[in-house]
Amino acid sequence: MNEINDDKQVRKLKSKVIIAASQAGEGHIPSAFSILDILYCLYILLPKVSEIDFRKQDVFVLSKGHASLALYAILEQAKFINSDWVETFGDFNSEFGGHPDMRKIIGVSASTGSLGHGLPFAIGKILANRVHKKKSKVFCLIGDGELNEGSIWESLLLASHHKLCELTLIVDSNNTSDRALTLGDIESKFNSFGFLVKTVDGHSHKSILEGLLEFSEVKPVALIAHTIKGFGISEMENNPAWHHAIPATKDLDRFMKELE
Amino acid sequence: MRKVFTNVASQLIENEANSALLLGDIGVFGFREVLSKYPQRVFNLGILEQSMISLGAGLSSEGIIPIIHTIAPFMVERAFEQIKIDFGYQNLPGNLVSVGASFDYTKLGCTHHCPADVNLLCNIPGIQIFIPGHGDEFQDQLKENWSNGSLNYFRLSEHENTQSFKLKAGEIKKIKDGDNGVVIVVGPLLDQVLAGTDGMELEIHYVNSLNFSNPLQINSNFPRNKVIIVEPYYSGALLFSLSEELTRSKNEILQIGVPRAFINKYGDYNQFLSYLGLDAESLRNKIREFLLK
Repeated sequence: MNEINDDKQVRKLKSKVIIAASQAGEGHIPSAFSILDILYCLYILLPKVSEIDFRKQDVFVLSKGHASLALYAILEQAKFINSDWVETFGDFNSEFGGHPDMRKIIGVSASTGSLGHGLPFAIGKILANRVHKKKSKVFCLIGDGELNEGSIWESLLLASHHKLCELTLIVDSNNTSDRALTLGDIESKFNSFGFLVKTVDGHSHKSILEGLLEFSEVKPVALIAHTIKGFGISEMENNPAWHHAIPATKDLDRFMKELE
Repeated sequence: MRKVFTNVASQLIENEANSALLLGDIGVFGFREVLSKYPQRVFNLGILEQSMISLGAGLSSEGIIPIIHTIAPFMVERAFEQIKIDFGYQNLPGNLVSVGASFDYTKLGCTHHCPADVNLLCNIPGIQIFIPGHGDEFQDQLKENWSNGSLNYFRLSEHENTQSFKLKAGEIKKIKDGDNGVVIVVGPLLDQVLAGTDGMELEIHYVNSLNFSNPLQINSNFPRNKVIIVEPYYSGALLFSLSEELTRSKNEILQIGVPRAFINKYGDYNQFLSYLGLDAESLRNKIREFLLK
């Protein structure tokens, strides 16, 4: 695989995220920045090197719905939606809220926000696709904090038991929930649950893309993506104060400059 | 009713290619044939109610309509948020079929009681709730409504009335005339009400489903403006789903249901009815007192 470096594109998307959040006074910016490289690889790079097509047979479920800003940015980049989302995010009549609504937005496959729902929902989609004899990949992205939820572990058992090789579960592993509950060796845990485990650098497009191409005939894939929450804005990186904070006007120029 | 469920759900699986059955590790023996014949649409998923509901909604989002079955408190109370968000908020159709009702598992204690289910679920916009009083009623309800585009909750009970009635979803049926007041009774408590009100000249209406989007219409002149509502769970949901006409016409209303207290008793169903004031004699005494007021 050739060396891939689309950092500049991703930085542009991050600028849009900051503008949208600042205008609305809402949004989880660091959570979006944690996963934007992953979504860029999934929606923009992966379809170029595989048969993955989110307009047709394949599905992505963003289980950590509070990172919706990243999803909107990537859906625009992939031409599912237009640029209106930046201007209207969080408005009374907007389609674009702090958590994605599948009834409002083309390209959103689940209305998430309450953690622990997306993975079992994605599994249901896989089982339905099997009934329809539809050859489809289902990608689901969860946060490592979401691994605190019991429903995730229930679903890992299900995915393994039913040999859901159609599933690639991406774990946004930014370690910020360790302050509440340390997860220990996630790779070993997924291994013991019967997943094919691949660990990637969640901000290296090459590494992510290699992980997304992993496949097993008999097992679901778990992609443990090591990420930095708030990646790209040094002040936000791994800084819990920014989790749900909005930049003040005086900060915007500085942040935009860092993203140039 | 469980036997009826096994038969009807198995037929649906046989005949309807867009149906699926998810079991929470109960009823497995009864469904053994469809489990082995349709392994892509019939699953004993295990004891993981939250995931079972979300997974069912995922199936539904791709056009496979699930029938999800387990014991009432584990489905409704444990996985309420999954029902609310994954089916309700996402506006996906599906069928939840519970067993145990308010206190069918009398000897198993409070963990297996679920008198709150109906009042909890009625807070989910768009849901239709079915409380059959007889296996035949449930058979019709499931066959007619399993793919009606809504989220449906079917509340099965071990105990049924001697007579079944054919009612459409959201219909109230008058089954007895009288001029001393009106009784509206839900599902499996009808026999107790009929026995308890014998000779009291009461107009009796029966209902076995609740629809919160379109208020239930009751055909009555409300004799003496005395209305008694009898529900086999914590009372409240029926009044909430009745038309405003009932409250506008200055009726005095007595609501009878399972008392809001944990039932720290064992024993049998009839002992529970008596203890909770839901047997014929207790109902008679409560209603007589109300009418004399």
